[in-house]
Amino acid sequence: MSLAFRLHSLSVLTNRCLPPSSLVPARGKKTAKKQKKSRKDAQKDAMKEYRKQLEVREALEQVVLQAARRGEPMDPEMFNPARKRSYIQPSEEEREKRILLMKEWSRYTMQQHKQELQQLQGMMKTREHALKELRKLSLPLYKESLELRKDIFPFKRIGPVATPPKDNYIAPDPDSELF
Amino acid sequence: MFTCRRVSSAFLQRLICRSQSTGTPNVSVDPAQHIFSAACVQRFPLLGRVKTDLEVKVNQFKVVAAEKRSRLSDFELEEQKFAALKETVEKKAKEEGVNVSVFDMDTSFKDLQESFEKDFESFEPQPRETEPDRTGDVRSTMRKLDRILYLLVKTEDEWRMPQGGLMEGMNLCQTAQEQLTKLCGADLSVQFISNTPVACHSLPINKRSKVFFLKAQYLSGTVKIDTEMLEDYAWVTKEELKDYLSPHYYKSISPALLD
Repeated sequence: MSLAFRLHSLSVLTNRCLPPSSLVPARGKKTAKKQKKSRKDAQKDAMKEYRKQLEVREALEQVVLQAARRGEPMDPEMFNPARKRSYIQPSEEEREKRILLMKEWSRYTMQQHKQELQQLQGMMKTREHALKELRKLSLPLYKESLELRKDIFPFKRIGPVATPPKDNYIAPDPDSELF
Repeated sequence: MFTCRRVSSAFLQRLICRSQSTGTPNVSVDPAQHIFSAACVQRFPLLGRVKTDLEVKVNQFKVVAAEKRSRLSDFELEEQKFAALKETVEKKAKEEGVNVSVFDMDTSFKDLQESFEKDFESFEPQPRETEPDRTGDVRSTMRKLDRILYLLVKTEDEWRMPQGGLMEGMNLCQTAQEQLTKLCGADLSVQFISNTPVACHSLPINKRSKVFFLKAQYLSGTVKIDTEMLEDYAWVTKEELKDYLSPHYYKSISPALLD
């Protein structure tokens, strides 16, 4: 059951459709002929179904608890079937377009990474050269230049943003009563 | 004695070289005469770069993928419920032949939402291009906000970074700081990032004398140059450095600079 459940939860998390047969471990071929169910049999089947559902629910709770123990917040509402978003499968063309886009993207990022590495290596090379030259001229200065600076903290840097701050613009304050 | 005299000069030279590279250098002349330290002041970018077409496309795709992974929120659930309820009511009214007008969601809430959307659409962000960009003012730090800018000063004959000879009882970094305040005024506040020089440039007049560059971060203030020593100053990007600096100078400093 646990494995079947894990598969199920995986399908829920990744939003991938798994066939219902993957939820229940496969058994031998059904050779018995169909027979009319007696009332007792129907009751038994209903009980079985009910127990299965109970087990699933307990397992779900355990998954949530385990996630909480690991420090990952996991809302049980994530498994609520009412919250499933209707999703239209993209056409074959669209899918191929996306795959090609991701391939191009990986090439682009690889190129970027290479450039950055080259730049860093160039920086290190020039710095080593400078240190070598300094050592030739004066040893005490060389030793002093290797010391760490302790006064660089607090380190201030205004981070890059999308657009510069607007002149004479006062952002609305959601905590104020006027808002 | 004879054998000693016959030792070749090349061998002696090699010995001296080895002692220089491993042990203490035997400098006969005062080293302070040959050492200059320059401050490489950089203004870091305040804006991110403009996204390329590919980056925009990938961003759009990532939004779609995130939406696919997401679940319906409480608000969306409520909306769905309300829509279903409205449908059933209208159907019943049609069957019975009664005219019923059903409201959408909570009207006040809807109005609020619309007003927010209107605000968002009417908002115009500050343009990325600033006034110094339009006028081509090179002396302003508020130009080319998405690039790193470097401070250059102009002496009588050439452009270079603010530099000066080694001062007594000071190390490279302290000298660079002192020379910077001397040349560019006390109003300019910078923060030196490291004691280690990032690059070295040998002067064309005397190859033995070297300039060591120390990186610093621009914090605030404006440059007021010492008019006796300097003529002009400029904040330029790495691409523009080529037009200002001599090729030899540019070659020795450019690998240490980021674009």
